[in-house]
Amino acid sequence: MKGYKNLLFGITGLLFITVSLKSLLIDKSDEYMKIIGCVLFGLFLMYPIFKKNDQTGVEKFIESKNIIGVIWWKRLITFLIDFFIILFFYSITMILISKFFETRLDKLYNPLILISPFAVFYYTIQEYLFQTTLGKLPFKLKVISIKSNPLLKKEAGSNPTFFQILIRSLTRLVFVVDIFFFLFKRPIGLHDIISKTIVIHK
Amino acid sequence: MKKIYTLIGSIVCFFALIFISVKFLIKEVKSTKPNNNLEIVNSINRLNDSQQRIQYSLLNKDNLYENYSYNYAIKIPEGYKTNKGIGKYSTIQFYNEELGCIVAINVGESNLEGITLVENNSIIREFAEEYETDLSLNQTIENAIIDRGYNSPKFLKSNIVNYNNRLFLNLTHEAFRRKNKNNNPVVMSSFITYYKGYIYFIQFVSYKFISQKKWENEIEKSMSNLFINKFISKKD
Repeated sequence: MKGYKNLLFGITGLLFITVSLKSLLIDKSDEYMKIIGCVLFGLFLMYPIFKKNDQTGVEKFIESKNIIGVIWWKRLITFLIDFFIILFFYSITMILISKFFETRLDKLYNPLILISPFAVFYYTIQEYLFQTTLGKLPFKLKVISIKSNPLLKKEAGSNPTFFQILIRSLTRLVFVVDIFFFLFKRPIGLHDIISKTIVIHK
Repeated sequence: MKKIYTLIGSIVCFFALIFISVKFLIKEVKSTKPNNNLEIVNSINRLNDSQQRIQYSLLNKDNLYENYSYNYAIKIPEGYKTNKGIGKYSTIQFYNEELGCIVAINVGESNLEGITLVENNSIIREFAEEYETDLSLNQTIENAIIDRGYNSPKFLKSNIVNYNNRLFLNLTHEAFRRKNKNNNPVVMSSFITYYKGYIYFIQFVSYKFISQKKWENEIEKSMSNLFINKFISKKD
């Protein structure tokens, strides 16, 4: 019963966050205080589902395999490195577009929407092919799947499937909620939980 | 090795897809907006061709210049000489011989006849937004600057300014002015607004070596005393 109640709260919270992000990114609303308020309220409603005593599959896997999680600052640095690489490629592309098409696409559309395909492509292609990204390389980190896949004859702890990686990359786009998870569920984010993957040392 | 080829192939496909989709993205935005760009391009292009009427004007002792033919009044900085020109395409210019600063006021015809202050303000807002996105508009302004005797204009910034409830599109450019063998850098601040069937293009030009803060102060003084209104007309 408690689980259903928490789930209901979670869905309501997610709705609040989605509507706020829609009004910010798509409707380009400038009522920032209202949006921030709605996002915080949404997070507050979602919090009970993800409390530390409610273990997720990823946490159970960490415990059963006795894996030492990657410390939070390493994941923060990897995120920052990856973010700057994405930003670099995005800026270069926007400059080329303004030169060739005489149009500032980043002024026509919200830059957050424009940068999304770059982020999804960057993470998906690297994590699928190499189980790592340029940002994760200095710390020798890699992504593994925590669930077995009988169809592909893959065991838990092996390389993630393309679908898992794609889900992982798409979930990153809800970065506000993702950061919230890192605060309460260190060192795993929403993208780790949903895609049933984990970042470990090689 | 196979992975490297897949990576390179994916990158090529991704960027190809991005560049193919740009055309559609631009088209989609343009189709949902009214196209007033053409009007600003036409009216700026016409600035050079507009034959000036015989103008009734007055520069009073407080350096307030009143033009009754085009219904505007503007404060001119102290110590500036007036050049009204004698040709049919001449425009009003105020210049400081020592500093080399110029205040030029060009009035040209536009297709926006009978435009109200509210309509002007909404069009200026729209242009400001378009100016940020449509780089071909910038080319039109740069051509107008080149026509006025400056070289290699470079766009610096654009914003909307409000003086006496009237919105102006304020564009700042950097350019060069040839003086004998030297190519001297200048900074020009242009203000664009619409009234009746006219476009008002007010340009403030100064050499880069002049204190920009002082010059901006002069621009502020002039522009805050700029009025465009039917009441600025000659006495019967």
